[in-house]
Amino acid sequence: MTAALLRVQDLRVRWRVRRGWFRAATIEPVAGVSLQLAAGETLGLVGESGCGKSTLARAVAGLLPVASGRIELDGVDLVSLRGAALRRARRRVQLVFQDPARSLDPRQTVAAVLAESLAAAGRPGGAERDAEALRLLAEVGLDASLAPCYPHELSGGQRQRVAVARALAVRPRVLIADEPTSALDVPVQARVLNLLRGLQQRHGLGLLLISHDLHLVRSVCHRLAVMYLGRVVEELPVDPSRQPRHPYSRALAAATPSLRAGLAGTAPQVPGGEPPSFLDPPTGCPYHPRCPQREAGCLEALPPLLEAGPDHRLRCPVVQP
Amino acid sequence: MTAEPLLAVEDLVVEFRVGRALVPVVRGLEFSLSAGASLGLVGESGCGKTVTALALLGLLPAAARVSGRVIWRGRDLLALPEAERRRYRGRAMSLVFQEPAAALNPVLTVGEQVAEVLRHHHGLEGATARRRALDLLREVRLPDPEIRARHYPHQLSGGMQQRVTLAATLACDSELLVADEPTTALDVTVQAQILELLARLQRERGMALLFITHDLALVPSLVERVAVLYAGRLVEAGPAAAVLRAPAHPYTRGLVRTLPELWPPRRELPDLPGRPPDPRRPAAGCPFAPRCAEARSACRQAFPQRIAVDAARWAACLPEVATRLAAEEVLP
Repeated sequence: MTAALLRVQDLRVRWRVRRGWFRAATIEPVAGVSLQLAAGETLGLVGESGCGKSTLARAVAGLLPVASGRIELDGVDLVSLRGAALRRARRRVQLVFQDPARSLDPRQTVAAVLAESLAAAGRPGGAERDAEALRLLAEVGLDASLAPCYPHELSGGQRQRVAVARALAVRPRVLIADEPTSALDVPVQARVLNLLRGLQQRHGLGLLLISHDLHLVRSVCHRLAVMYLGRVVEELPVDPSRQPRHPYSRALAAATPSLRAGLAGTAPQVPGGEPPSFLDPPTGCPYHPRCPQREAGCLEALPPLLEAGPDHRLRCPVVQP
Repeated sequence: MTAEPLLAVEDLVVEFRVGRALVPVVRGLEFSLSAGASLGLVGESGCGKTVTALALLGLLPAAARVSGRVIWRGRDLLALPEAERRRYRGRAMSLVFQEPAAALNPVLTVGEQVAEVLRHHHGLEGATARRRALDLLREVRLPDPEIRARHYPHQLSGGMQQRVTLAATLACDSELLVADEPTTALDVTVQAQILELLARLQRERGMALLFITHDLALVPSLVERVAVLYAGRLVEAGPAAAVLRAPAHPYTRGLVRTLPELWPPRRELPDLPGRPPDPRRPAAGCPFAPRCAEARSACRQAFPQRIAVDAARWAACLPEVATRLAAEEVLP
């Protein structure tokens, strides 16, 4: 692996939540996550909703307070920065959300969205800024004639392109895309992902792609991280010859609908149990209540994330080689 | 099919009044379902899938103009007055929506909601209705049904809420379940549970299923037949496995080829260029022609005739294109 552009180390996010009228509890939706991302690399992050993947994305983008840990971008720890230095650094990690209809202001035209973003990046105003906005539109494959349009006048795919252009306006180093295509029809998904890949190659961006679609992650990403209850349980290169080994990764893969499997007569496999709650996390390995390969030791201590092969990390002593 | 179908849809047209214009959203649908059979209706958003479901149930708003025939066991439901039509809703067919939270009443416990359906449709009362509701919640495998029955919808997860709407559907003893993207809002793991539940209910109760989805990967393991909808028209129909293995219509083929599962690793992803036409400007000819690599000038003149690919399947396309494509498997 080349030198890391982004290095997240033992990151923790904690929230106080109310339980009933008088009691409160602390939950940890990101419970010690370490990840690395090189320039030009795409890392896929998968897991069920509520596993903490979106919280992780927001924390890394500087949109949520961090309880502890480090987020290093080009060697500078963003967590320790304050004030103007933090604002400058934060621009370099940009987030693209799932639903562009909600992340774009309905009362702002496309041109205004981009102008605002360019202004925030301290770029010169006037004609120069307008020209830059048009260049951004062209870069995300949108016609200049869309500049005076409002979000509701655009299709879902076009809106998502505007959201990507807005992120690019501040010249980020890392792009975090949180389910960028789940609200889109399948043919449009491919187009938006082709766009992201093209931009990544042109600008050498690190891309963190959060998705619930394992097929999508496998075809687009270089590496894959599987998250469960706030922790990474497995991380491995995407390679047809390397299959995930963690029982949860495998359950997730088996539950993912597949045309090929369906035509061969195999329906998506139903995993056991309901996802656990951060409010009442199981002892030991958080996956043990649902795990078909559980052993006595799994109930006692949280297994560490250990090397399981070249560039492969695994949090399961039972399937560890 | 020798027996009279349970449901036969003939020349169904749905138009919406927008200002002074009438915008056609469904443009002459035709399909049928026998008792206990299953059909998948697939297509991109805006192709008319949900409007079709609502038209079958008679739930479209007043701005919609519906014509054609929706024949239930020989009776045209569209010809019935609303008071009579209502009797078919629930008993004959019921609808499960994409968003279970929107389908449930937020101020009633879920047990009470299922019991209410039983009171309305079967005249059950008090403890009997509550006991029967609990049976149904058990049948849809709601975890801890005795406890969950006393919960309000917001206290349940999305998957549990969808189980409750299915239990309410079962309370009607419907012969046909219309499921409109019932798993879109759910995680893959929960989606697998709901799909298994749908398959089991269909098997055990002999319920017919009209499964509406944009996700082709869900189709072959759940339904026997599939019909592909594009811009308000059916473009291809037949046994699900045969159609998806070697689609005869270029649109179906495009949909299959763009499935993430078939994308090449870390290369340019296959595209289906263009987008569906604007229903406000319906064009003559095949609505897919502007996006179709196989299109000829004839395609822009008139909507193509249905070509029988074999005894069980057809495609609305040029005969030589449909025959050639149907002989080529699309999965590598």
